[in-house]
Amino acid sequence: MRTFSFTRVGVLLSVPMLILSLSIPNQAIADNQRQGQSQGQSQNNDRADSQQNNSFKNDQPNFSNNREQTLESGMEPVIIQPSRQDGGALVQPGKAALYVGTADSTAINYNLGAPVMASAQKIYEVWYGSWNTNLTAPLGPKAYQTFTNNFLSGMVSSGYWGINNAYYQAAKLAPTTKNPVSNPVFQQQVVLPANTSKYGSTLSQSSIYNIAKNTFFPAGTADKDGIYLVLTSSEIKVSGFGTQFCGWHSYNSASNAKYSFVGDPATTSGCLAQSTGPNLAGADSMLSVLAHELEETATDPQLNAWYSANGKENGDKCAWTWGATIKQSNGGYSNINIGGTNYLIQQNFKLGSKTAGAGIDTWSGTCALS
Amino acid sequence: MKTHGNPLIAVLLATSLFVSFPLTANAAPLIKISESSNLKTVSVSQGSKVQITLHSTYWSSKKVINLKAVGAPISVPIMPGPKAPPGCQFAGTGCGSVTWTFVATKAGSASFEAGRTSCGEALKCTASQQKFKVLFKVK
Repeated sequence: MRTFSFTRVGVLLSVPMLILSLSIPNQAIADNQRQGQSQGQSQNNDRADSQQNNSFKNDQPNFSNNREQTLESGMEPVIIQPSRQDGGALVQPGKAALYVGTADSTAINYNLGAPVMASAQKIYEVWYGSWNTNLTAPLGPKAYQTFTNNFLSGMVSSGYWGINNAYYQAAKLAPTTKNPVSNPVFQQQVVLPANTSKYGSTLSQSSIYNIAKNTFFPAGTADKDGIYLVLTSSEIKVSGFGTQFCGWHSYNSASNAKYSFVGDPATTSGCLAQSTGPNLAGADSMLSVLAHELEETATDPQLNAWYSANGKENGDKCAWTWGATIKQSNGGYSNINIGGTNYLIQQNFKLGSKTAGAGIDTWSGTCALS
Repeated sequence: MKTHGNPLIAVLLATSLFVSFPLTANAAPLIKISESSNLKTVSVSQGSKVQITLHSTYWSSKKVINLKAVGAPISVPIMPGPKAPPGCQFAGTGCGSVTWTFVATKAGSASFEAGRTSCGEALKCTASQQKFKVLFKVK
């Protein structure tokens, strides 16, 4: 029969093909190897004290409004004392091996109608973990906090942050009326030791959100201009830190919270720019990631405004790129001086020229420090 | 019915249609490649269609030898947010995939190389994580 005849030919030809295909190694599609993250946004009713305003002043952080906090039932209050670190004092001798990434110079898109942080962003910091206890000489307690806030106080009015001021929001019906990204101001910081927190020393995304929420907006509505930073010390475990991310920023639509995580990479090689920083390797690398997350949060707070076709935000496009660097006497490299201190901070995507499209502004650009 | 009365014939008929289908539908086999083939050699027959899928939107093609592209690469990003799959909630992770499709036109050797500079949100890439390369032995 014709059918059987056809079948025999099919079988005769298909069997070698089958053998051939079986002999081809490794043709299966690999599984997505990303590890899971908790997606839950569990709620609780822990109480935090109300906040007080306290703006950055250029290179003169004023912590006088930091005060005793009662964050969670049963925890010890922590008082952050005003202090100041001399520029470049967090130095440890040694040799550096600087990691250098590659800039992504493809265009970045703005989706008309999506918001940026056009009002002054208020920085809220939770220093989670052993920030007051585990730092050994030459560091003292609170050195990271002071170092970080000194950097931020100078950065917000520097040419470095000025790159973000070129980003904007505009309505679809009025695309030429632009409202630019503003500058951050310091609002409040709190130290929260893990051993006094119910979240303990292993954190998920949802617990990071809840730490910020319970600390600063327990009633459930965040400051619309707030950026809530949860900064963890090196012994705190955050799933994915060093393997999937060195920090991140996110958005909770229910509370309107823009929140971010950055960990201390001192013991996480995947997040360390160099073994010896211009100041201290861990703190320096943490600042660079912090700058990355802040510039992304300011320009893409709800994850729908500024990003490129492959999903990269401005900070992503220039991650781990430094531009020209200077070798310090301790062997570490720096690339920028802010407020008299040398830092190693990643570049940011500086907008070039625009091509207008349907609902989208497409911008060329380059990675730069100012 | 007659057919029901002889299930063996029915099975043979169904089998014959199934087995011979590749001959009538598409003679060129589709070879699917992913990260597991990195730095390996894959044997393909001349005229085979090769589909390479890498699971990050940050991959880009760097060097292609003796492979003819079939269309543009297809990027399928997964947008971040609370409804994204685990590990993809954050912007900047590069969640998603890029797929290139080629035809192995020439007998001999062929290769495909891709690179990326980011392996996660604000995350360094080690040297081995930045490169993907697969070699083809085209017969």
